[in-house]
Order: sequence, then structure tokens, then C-alpha cells
Amino acid sequence: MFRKVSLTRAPWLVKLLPLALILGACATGAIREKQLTLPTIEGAEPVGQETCLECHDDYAASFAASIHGRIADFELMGAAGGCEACHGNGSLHISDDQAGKILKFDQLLPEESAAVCAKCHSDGSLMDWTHSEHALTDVTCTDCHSVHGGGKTALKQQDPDLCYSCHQEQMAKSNFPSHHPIKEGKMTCGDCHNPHAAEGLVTEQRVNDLCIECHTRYQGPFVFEHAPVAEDCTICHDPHGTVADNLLVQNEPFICLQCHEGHFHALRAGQPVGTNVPATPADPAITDPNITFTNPHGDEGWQKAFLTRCTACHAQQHGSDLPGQAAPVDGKWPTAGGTFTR
Amino acid sequence: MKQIQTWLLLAALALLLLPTSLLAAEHKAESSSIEVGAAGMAVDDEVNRVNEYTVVRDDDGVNPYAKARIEGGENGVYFDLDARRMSQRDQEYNLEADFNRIFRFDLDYDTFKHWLPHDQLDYMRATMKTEGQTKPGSANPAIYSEDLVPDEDFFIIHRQFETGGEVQLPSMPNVTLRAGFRQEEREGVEQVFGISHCSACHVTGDAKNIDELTTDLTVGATGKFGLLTVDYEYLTRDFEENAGDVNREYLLAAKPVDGLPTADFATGRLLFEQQNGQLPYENTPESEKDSHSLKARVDLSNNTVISGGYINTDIESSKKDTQGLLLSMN
Repeated sequence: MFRKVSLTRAPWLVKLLPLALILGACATGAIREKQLTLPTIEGAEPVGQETCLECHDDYAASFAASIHGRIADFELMGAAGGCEACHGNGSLHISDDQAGKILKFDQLLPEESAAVCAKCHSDGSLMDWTHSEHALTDVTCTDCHSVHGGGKTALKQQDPDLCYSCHQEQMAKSNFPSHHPIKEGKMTCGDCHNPHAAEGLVTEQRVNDLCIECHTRYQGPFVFEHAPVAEDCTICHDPHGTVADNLLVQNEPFICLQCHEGHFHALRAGQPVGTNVPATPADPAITDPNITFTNPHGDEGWQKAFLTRCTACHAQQHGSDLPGQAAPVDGKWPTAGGTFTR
Repeated sequence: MKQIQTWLLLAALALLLLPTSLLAAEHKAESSSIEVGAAGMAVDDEVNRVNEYTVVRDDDGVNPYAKARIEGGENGVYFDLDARRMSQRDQEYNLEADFNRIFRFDLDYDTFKHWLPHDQLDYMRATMKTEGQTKPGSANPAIYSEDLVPDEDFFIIHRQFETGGEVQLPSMPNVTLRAGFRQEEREGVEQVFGISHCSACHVTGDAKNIDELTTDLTVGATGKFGLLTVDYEYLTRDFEENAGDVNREYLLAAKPVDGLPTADFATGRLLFEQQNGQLPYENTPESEKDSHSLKARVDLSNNTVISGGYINTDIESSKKDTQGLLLSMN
């Protein structure tokens, strides 16, 4: 059993990567800083961080302990460091008559503010920032991050409280009876979501690959696959929380009948096993007399389907390597034994 | 995993004792907070309960707990420790360290218990042809249903250990090398459903042990070349299932044995590998995954960014030694 998820292969890219990294080692952060479109203060010259702290000494302690205060010179690769790395050159700001001549992030446009951060933060989970939903809706870095302190992640509030301040629908869902353990403190939004990414998820792959990182037993590949499982877990599950058990978007059997619609018509008729049931007059919604449905569940099919759970019998709905039990239909074997009952 | 957990607990306790004496005297700790206490819990168990993740609920009686946060550093070395122990099955530890920004690593361990539902199959009574006829021995049932373990609690204990490190050399500052390791263990008991068919469907609910281990190893590098940023990561994952199969009684299929009419098969036996007896069901297949991820970004003037990515993933099932069944039908 083998499944290729990718569209193409390019192993030469992998072999070239170390060489490219070494050859590129001469590149500097100063080049990057000069070429990006950044907000600037015309005519200002650098004055050094010590000059800033003569007045702004209230930031000194928290900034020194923050990740930004601990950056080493070599990480800057020749670019500016200290307060002026983000706030711009301060020579005009320290003169009494031009105190406003400094970059204040609450007065910058969102893209200007993010561009300052992107001087350094252009890699890893931040690589797709400009294509992210947050960036496209004018949310910027300083809306969530406190640059002068804020602990490990420099967040203004803890996750999930920070996320809930805007995403209140998700907050409500997290209190539904079936939920991931966010309110119990065992997970955070950031375990699944990358707020800087284009797709907003902590994976570059499909949403399923994110779910499977923890729920690995459903990774497969299976001999008998259930199409929505292979395609997208969120077809059946809402990871933020649901009223139905097991994070299902609806209770059984209705969630199953969203796709397996034929069962609905056949089971309503309640005909014996193997009988082709005319759609009319049993189902007045369908007027074509040529459409028939086969009832697989017998005389009590209606009770079995609508008053029990589909997954009590079709318990392997995530996929199985074993053939399900199935009776032949019209003298033919059913398709592939994939009834997920074993 | 249990050894790691013990080591982490001891490390956390050792650091808990430091702040008031050693660290304070040498001015190394910049901040610390410690909370200790006890929580009393009386658990009245009920198989139909909700609240999948209620904390401190599994240990009846009075349980001590402790939380601590210590961060500090000197001469370019920085550390940050977060520890929380609420009960044996509710713990969380995190340690971050930074050595002159050249080597940075973090270490996480957490464990929690997830209560799973217990389906007592009572709703199968809705399919009765006659009152009371859902249990084995009934004269004319539509479905036989049995909860074979009516008093069993179902749960998963989740334990995850995760660590990662980055190296950024001053002589080559625009290249960052990194590696990561994650091991997730899931142990417990879950409810499994089996169905067979003789004169009517026979649904059983039983217990199956859970013993799963997921191991991830990642290596990668990031390069910043002026306006170009390149990021590569390789992931290899191994998923093991060590609990073994669960079995139940299945009956010989009347078809595909030759000579019997289709109708007999359709109303009698169903398809089970053409043999009577105990057969496995509810298999959890082991699997492996390898993934290459390459991303690049170019920043241009006028707030223009071009980015692209390439991902290649192979997933392979480790299942083997399963005999196939050759179907023959007239």
C-alpha cells in the first residue's frame, strides 16, 4: 500500500540546497534593510540605544529580558540594532521641537508596521505573512504582540484569550459539550493555527495532515478508504467544538445521510432486503418512476437507520484493511467490501 | 516515557528549591513564581458522563499540586522553565534555553487524560419486532445487541515529549540549522463495535486496549540571502500500534461456497474470510511517513512579496502478513 500525496518529485532541489545555503552566506541583513520599502524619518541619524534609555528607562528592564533585547549582533548581519532598528533613527526625536519625528507603531499603516518586523521575521512560520488572512484584513504584528516584553511569545495576552478577543464564535464553540481541551489548558489555538500563515494552519500540507499529527491512527493508507476521511476531516468534524459527540458537525444518522442520501429514500419505504423500491409514491419528493432504491436493512430498516447510530455497525468509518460484511446485490458482489463494518 | 516524566519532575523540583537561596544570592534569576497547594476531589463515576477532559478528576481524595515559573540568565545564557503538576495524569513542563544566541533549544512534556464515551447500545431496542427481543436467544429479533463490558471506563492517557534545537553560527549568520524530535504516546482502553450476521445482525460493544506510539524526527535549515529567504524541512514519522488485535466470533459464509443459491447467502451468512471462528476486527494499521518541504520568499519594493512552496510526502502502511481471500462466485 503506497500513496503519493505530492504532485511531482524534484530530489535535485534537495541536493542543491546545502550548496545554495553556503554560497549565500555572504548576503547581509543590511542589503535587505536597504531594499525593503520601509517607513523612514527623513534627515534623522542614529543616536544609539543608550540615548533612548535616558528618557525611556521604563522600557529598559522588560526590553532587556525580552527576546528582542537578547538578540546578538551577528544575527543582525550588519543591519541596525537596538531601539532604532524598529523605531527609526532618533536624532530628530531627541530635539525638543521635533519630538514626533520617530516611528510610532500605533500611527503606522498596518503594512508599514509589518514591513518593519519583516526585516528580520521573514522565515519559518512567518514566511507567508503577507498572504495571511490577518494581513489581508489589516491586522498587524503589534495588534497581538508586545515587542518590548510579553514573555516567551511576546503576546499581549495568553493564547487562547488573545485569539478569543476577536474570534468569539470559536470561543463559544470551545464550550460546547464536545471540544478539544482548550479551556482545560491542555491545548491552545496555536497548536493547530499559525496566525501568520496563508492557510492559517500549522502545516504546509493538507488539513488532514494537521489532524493526523496527533490522531495518527487514521493516517492510513487503508485498503478500504472512506472518501471524506482521505479528503478533509472537517467534512464531518468541527475541531472547534460541537453539540454532537466526537466533534461531529451533526448527529448520526443525519451527518451520514448528507452524502448517503439513497439510504434515506430506501429506508423510508421499509421494504424487504434486496427489493428495488420505487421512488414514488413512497417518496413524493421524487416524481421520476424510473428511479429505484435498494433497501439494504430490511423490514426494520427505518428503525435501524433513524433510531440508532450508523457507526454502531459501520464502526470503521475512518477506513479499514479488512473487508466489511456485505450481501450480494442483484447477484453481484458489492463494491470492494468497503462497508466499514469490520 | 515514564522515565522522562520522572526526570522532568525531579528537575522541576530541584529548580523549585533554588530561587530563595542560590539564585537570589547570585542575582541570576530575573523572575520566578511558585504556587503549591492541594485539591480535594470526590469522584462519583458514571459511564454516561460528559466532560471529556475535567482536570484533577482521576485521583480520588486529596492531591497535592505545584506550579512554578523561573526565568533568568547571565553572560548570554538564558533559561525559562514552566512547570505544572496537578496530578499523575495532568502534568506539563516546558524548558527553553539560549546559549549566546548560537544554540537555542526547547523541551516540552505534557500528559493528560481524555475520557471516552461508553455506548451502552440501549437504543437498539428501537429496532425490536417484539418487546424485549434484542438480546441473544431472542426468538425473532431485528438486531441482537450486547454491551459485553457494561461497567468498563474508556479513556486515553496522552503523553507527549517534544524537543527542538537551532544552531546559528556567527561566522555564517544567515543560515540557521535546526532539528526536532517528538514522541507521542497514547495508552488506555476504548470501546469497539463488532457486527456479524446469522439470522439477524449481532452487534457487540467490547473493550480494546490502546497502545500507540508516534515518533517524529525533523531536520531543516533556513537561509536568508538578502531579499531571498529559503526554508527546507524533512520530516520522518513512525507510527506503532502495540496493543494487538481484538477478536470476535464470526460464522462461515454460506457464499462464496459454490452450490448455494444467492438468496440463501443474502438472507443467511455474510462474508468473513470463508472460515468460522475468532477473527480480528477493529485493526489499527501501523504506518510511516516521509515529507520534504521547501519554501522560498522574495521581498521586493512597494510591499511586494513573492513566495512559493514545494512539498513531497510519502505515506506507507506497515501492515503485512495478512492473508488475502480469493472470492469465487457463480
